[in-house]
Amino acid sequence: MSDQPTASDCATPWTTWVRSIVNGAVGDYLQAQQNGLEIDMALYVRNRPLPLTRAALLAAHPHPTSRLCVFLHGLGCNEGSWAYRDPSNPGRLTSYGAELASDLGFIPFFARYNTGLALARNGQSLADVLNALLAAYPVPVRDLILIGHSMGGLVIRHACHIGAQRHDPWVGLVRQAFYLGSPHNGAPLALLSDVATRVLHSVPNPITRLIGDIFDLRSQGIKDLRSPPFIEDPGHHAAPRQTVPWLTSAQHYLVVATLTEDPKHLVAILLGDGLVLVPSIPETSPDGTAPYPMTRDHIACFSRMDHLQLTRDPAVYAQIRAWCAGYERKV
Amino acid sequence: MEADTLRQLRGGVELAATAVEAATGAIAEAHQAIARQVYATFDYLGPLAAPARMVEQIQMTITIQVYRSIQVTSRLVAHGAVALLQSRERVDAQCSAPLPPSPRWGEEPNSLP
Repeated sequence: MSDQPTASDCATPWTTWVRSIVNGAVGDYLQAQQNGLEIDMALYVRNRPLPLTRAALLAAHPHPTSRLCVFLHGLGCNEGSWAYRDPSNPGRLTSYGAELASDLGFIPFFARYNTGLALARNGQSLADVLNALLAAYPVPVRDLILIGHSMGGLVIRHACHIGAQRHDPWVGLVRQAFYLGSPHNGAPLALLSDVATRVLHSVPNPITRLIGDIFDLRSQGIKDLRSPPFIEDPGHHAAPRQTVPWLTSAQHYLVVATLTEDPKHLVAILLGDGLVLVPSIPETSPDGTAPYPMTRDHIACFSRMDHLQLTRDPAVYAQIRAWCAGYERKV
Repeated sequence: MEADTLRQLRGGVELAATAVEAATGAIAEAHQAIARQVYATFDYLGPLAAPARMVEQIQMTITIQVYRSIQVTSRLVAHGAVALLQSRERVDAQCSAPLPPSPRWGEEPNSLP
């Protein structure tokens, strides 16, 4: 393996994409059936799960540093969504992870997981994986940054909450968390499909009921995107559901996009980046319990960009890099 | 072929068979419901109601059998494919199992010194 992490570490073939899409659509069913197509949460290198042992980590990254970054993809995707053509050298693939490694010395790890499972379940799996990673990592870890795209950002929130409750050692090392197009208030498309299902079921017609049944086949992971991420508390059904709190010891950054040039354009307001809307951020700096525990300088809005482009755009990377460097200057 | 790939192929075949089964079942239900609506109008036509019910019964029986045969065929094909993949898995597992150590000269009870 090469010394320097490269984008080929996270590139994936089309068969992996098919499997990821199927997991996103019906991943909870696959898991329940132990079908064989279900994906277990793991860190992947070159389309293979990375065993979390000292030897395997050293083989993957022969020169480990004390700074790690972990990437989480979105619904129906895999780590291949982070790879893109280097604009300065179009023949070469790169990724935010490879760039962060060469610019700031972060060792990148790319997670792959079953996006059809409930967010809380994936959050728990991520917390377990991070525990195992830290235990096996060959040098002491000083900094950990988490970067999640879309659903991945919500999984990060769940993992941080679960890790903080369990007093996992990695939680205190998380210095920054980046959410790229994450639907912290719920995704309108997921909500729309839910409403459509109910309407179709309520119409007394066999065809509309059939279409409603097809709509209703979506996985728990997709259903969880309807609303803000809630704490899973099976014991108290009567109590009002609480949103997952933000990790107070870390800095949080939001990257959003709009399809149009003008973020105040009607299309941008109604569609956002095509899948997730631009949230309205309160003017004052709120505490950890507020909807967004971040000030405006921790939020970047990119125009003329769609939801999937957020994982593979040099401008987005430049913003992440600037935030990382800015944090280091402050510290 | 790798064991993991075979396992995924098996999962894909099973998922496809389940999808065909579920889709056929849902379409059959919708088909029957629509047909029932058409035949229901004959109930108001007095003398035509009884023969219409008979035709409806025949049509429903044929319809159900057609959909069921699709389900059974798809399940049989899936079973066949899964059995083939499982036998391939067993062969691959035997091939990749380490060979027993060959007896060395002088270790067998009746070998020459």
